[in-house]
Amino acid sequence: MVTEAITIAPALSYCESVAAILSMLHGTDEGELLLDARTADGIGHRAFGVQTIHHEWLSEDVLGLLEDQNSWHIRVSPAVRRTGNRGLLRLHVLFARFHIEKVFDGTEWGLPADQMLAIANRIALFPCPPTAVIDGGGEVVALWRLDNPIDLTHEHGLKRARRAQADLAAALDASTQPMAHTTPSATGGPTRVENFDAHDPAGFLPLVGCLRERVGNTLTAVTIPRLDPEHVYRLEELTDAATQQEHQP
Amino acid sequence: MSSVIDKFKTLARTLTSAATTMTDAIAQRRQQIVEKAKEVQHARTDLIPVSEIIETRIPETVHEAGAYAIADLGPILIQGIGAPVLGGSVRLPWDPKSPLEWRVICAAMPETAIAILTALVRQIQYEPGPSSAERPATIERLERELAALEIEEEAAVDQACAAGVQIAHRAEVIARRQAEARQRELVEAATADRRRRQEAIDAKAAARAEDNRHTAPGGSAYLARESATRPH
Repeated sequence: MVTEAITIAPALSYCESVAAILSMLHGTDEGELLLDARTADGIGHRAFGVQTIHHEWLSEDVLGLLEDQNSWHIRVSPAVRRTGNRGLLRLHVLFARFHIEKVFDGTEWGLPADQMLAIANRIALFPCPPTAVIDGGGEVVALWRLDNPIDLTHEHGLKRARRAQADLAAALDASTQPMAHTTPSATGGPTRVENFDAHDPAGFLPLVGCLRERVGNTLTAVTIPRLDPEHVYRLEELTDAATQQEHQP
Repeated sequence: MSSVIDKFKTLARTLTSAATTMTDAIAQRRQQIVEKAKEVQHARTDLIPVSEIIETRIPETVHEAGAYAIADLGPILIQGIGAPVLGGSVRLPWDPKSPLEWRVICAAMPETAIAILTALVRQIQYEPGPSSAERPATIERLERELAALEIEEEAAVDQACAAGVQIAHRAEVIARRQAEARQRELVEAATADRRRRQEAIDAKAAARAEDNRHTAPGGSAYLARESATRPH
């Protein structure tokens, strides 16, 4: 039973929400966030790095992307990367992804209410309230902002991040299965498929406001139902909370 | 009546005197700016002192020329003078009748070459600037002083204009202020354009969310499930 008061996202517009999430993921140092988007015809892919991040407004490249009336999914890398997508730099958040199995009720595919409720309960019962929750229709992603980013330039940092992600996923019973990141060719060539675990910092997250995937016969808008910027945590706080949660009966 | 007129005349003289004082102060400040700018220019472009030339530049150039001579002429010289079987007389890399090159003197007698250059330099009169070691700090100090004078002068002109004195800013101040105003206009225009574009995107997103069959208050199926179970 959810007893915690639901925090409705502050009165941010669609664009302000996108800017807030990008700002949270990027921090203020060097590096870029990788955006991956379908082209307007839904066939090709565009991937580009976004370096200019402001927490209140969108840079020209992201504005242009949204203006292209891109009604397909746009995904963002949770980890900041070196310019030119040359390796991971740092991770400002921990995240838990909850994949929702669509069910067919005889006439159409839909998202089952009990699955959504179970996810909401698991997130609400975690000792550390999330900084943001992104509802992507077919998946819910909860994010926790770290006070100090994890350095991913060394093997030690990457292992630390993956371990923390795995602990969080275990505590919240979140998705861990491999996900395929497909990049179809717009010129008829082979589709490129990369596999990453659902909680891997090298993967991609749904970006706020972009239509994620078909649920039933309707395109579902990705929304941000929760955004509490003041929820910032030390990594140890989250891993300790995850350990406690995991051991609870 | 005459006393009122006299009072006005006195006031007029006082105001004129004040204006003259202000314009004189500004003129004085401008002259200081011109002189300080010249000092900065001298610090940047004047030649280094004789002592530095003698202690560092002359030995460097002599050794450089000597090394070049050895690298260029050495192999030819040793081949010509050290061949086991001479096909005639020794062959030097220069004609026996030609004058000795400066680089050869530098290589063979570097102290003499240094002494020659030193003697020449000592005879040349010129106005030196700061040494290489002191130059950066000197330039920085002078530029700081120049900036302070310019700021004071600009403020004084603003003050004078506010007091009704007819005086124009320096041309570079006018140009800078126009460029700043233009930059501000561009930023404001860009901000307004971005706001307009974001509002257009926001409107489309709101319409899309409205069309979504799974939309609940707050626009999220996740929230819909949470709110459905809230104790009311």
